[in-house]
Amino acid sequence: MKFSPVRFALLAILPALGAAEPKIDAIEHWLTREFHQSTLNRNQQREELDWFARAAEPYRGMTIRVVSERIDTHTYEANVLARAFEDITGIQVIHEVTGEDDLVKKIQAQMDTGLNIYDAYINDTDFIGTHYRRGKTVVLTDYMRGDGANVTLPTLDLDDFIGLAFGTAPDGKLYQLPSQQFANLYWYRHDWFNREDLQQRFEKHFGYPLGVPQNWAAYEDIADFFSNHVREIDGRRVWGHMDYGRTDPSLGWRISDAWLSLAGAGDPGLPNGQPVDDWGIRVEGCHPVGASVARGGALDSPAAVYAVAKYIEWLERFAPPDAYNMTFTTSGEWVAEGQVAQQIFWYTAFLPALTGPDTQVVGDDGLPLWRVAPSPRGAYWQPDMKSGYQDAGGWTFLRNTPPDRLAAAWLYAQFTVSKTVSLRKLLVGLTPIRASDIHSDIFGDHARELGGLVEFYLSPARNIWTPTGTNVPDYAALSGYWWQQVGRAVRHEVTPAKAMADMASLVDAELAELARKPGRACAPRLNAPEPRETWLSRSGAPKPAMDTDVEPRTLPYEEAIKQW
Amino acid sequence: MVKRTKLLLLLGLLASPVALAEPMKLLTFQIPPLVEVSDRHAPTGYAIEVVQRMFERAGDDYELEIQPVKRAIRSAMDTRNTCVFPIDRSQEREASLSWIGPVSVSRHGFYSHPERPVSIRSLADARPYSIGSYLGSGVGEYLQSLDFNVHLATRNQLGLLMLQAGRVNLWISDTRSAPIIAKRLGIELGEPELVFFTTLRSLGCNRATDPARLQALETALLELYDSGELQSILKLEP
Repeated sequence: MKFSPVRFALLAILPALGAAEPKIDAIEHWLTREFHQSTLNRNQQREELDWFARAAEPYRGMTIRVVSERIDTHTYEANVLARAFEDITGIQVIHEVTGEDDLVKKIQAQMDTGLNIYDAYINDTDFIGTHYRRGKTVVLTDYMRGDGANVTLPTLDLDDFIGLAFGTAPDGKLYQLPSQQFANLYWYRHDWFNREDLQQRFEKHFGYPLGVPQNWAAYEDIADFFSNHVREIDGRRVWGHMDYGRTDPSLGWRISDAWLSLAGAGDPGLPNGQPVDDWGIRVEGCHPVGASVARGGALDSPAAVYAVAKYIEWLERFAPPDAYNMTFTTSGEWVAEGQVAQQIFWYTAFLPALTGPDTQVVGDDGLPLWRVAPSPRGAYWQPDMKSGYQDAGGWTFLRNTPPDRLAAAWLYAQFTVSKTVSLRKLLVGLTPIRASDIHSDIFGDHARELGGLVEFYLSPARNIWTPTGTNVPDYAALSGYWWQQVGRAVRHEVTPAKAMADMASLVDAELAELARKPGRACAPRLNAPEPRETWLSRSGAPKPAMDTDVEPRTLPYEEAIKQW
Repeated sequence: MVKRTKLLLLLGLLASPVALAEPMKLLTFQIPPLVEVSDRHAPTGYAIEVVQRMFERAGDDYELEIQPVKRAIRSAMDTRNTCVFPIDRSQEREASLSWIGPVSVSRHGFYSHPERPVSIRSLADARPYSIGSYLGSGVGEYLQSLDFNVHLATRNQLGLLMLQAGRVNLWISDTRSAPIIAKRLGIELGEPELVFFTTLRSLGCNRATDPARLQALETALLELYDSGELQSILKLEP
């Protein structure tokens, strides 16, 4: 993969302090050289870092090991924050950065084997249902009040975290403390959409204005327009759609994050749909009762099949040919190349690539040629349903971590989200976690460069773009089915309907297996199967097949973002 | 010439659901102390021990064959009922094989020449240097994917020889293998500059292998972990 421009260039600014012992001037050194942008004043920052130095004294000289996924925010933590923490506290941190699926396998392995593989994970809160049910995870609420009270930062200010709900389980307790958040939004070339010649050409052909698509019908027309009608802008081939299709674990979360929920496969209700959620799993109380339509779920419903069929159709008809073999990582920065007109689901974690020196999507004035807006909705989507996906990577600790290592890792985790460093981290990685940072003048000053990201995070929308919810009882066990089954449909080995039918059967079987495991909270209790038509005739999800050929609708950008 | 060793374990086959199946072919390679290959006796090592206990518990059987790691991985991808171990499981390899594991957890370090030390505090510090690894190394592939300057030899110990000869600045190796390899080659080697990455070493099996058979092995492995038996074999360094 190609890292974004911020990746290791950061090293140029690093202080050259030694590793063995915390230096007396380390705090001043780091405050001057790196953490000069903060919502705290210098004295408050110094007090906070003094606290870390004191609290860490019993653990000085230790080496701890943590792991996170491969995005710019975590690269910054690994290469800069870990080093600062060591200089200030004397605790060495090996902060590994790896693929998200690799991380999933590692946390699963530590749960399954009991080995102390890592002292902490930055694990997506998509796992919250797993952590709550398996009983292998440190409950942070309890830890902060109990064994971890002496190593809990007095100025942590949990109420300031915008994504705390994502790491909170049905028992009301915090299991995962957000270290970064990024949303999945519609991305488009605002400059191209505003070109008079292209507007006239689009309206003449399709009969309505070129603008931010409000539904999949309009998105499809716009994709067709740029890929097949416009084809070239300023002498370069352009594409009306971007996605990725390689049979790889990241294909799974491409579909599970957004395609089914925005198609409208589940039920209304936040954060994930009730009683049928955005994975198509029906829940009664807190108990998953089935994924297949036969058991009241929606994973093989007409809406789910429509979602997967559209994903494949657009990948083949409108995306650049290379997209078929791309993954989350390799495709993420592709839009910065300047050949894509729009992307229905774009992860804002890749925003640093769009603002870096190699970007092709910034104008001569240094301002972005693109904007983000709410993603268009599929034919089955209804008001009050989830509007989009948000990834929240949360600090997560497993109970088999030795107490001293747990304490040292908890100190490092808090350091990476402390107010002393969080604003600087936000400006590098653009994955906000604190309300105070979002509302700061410094972040606000960057609004014009960030194409709508600041406006998104200043709005209530940041609460209704949600991660996978608590209904998924074992994320590691279930997530593999997505890429394996959808991958078969992408390769045309089976139809989308067959892929989703097989997937629903596999998920039902896994739920049945989980139901047999003792001692799990909110364990699955599978419904007895009934004829599909019985469930499809009832109100709500699973919804019966409908005419998906709806009237296309667009809005000007200013109107479109009023939804936020 | 490829050394070949065959072990046939016929354990509890009459009672096993896989009694009529062909023995699974397991491909492995020299990676002490996980796998020690010898001309005089069957391979030993704690990864061998873990795999042996797993097959015993599942009531399945296997034949063992030694191949160079890169070829072994390719063979497992291409040949039914064939697995390779102990290889690094990674996201890039995930879709190519069906996985059972971990049979070991490995830490990987950067080693410098004692007379040419390189100070490394984080992975980014290694970026300016040339790095030796070997074909089939998941960690070598990981660093290549990050655009590091990685030279892949055919075997792990050749990376150390490259370091010794000054052809690379750093050698990456499993921290348990490195001192053993250095000692056997008579090369002085210090502590790693940085233990920078962890991998789960697993069996990677051909994707056409019967899923029920693989599930039985996975279940047996997890039962062994649950019993506490494997923790003492694996002895994971923090």
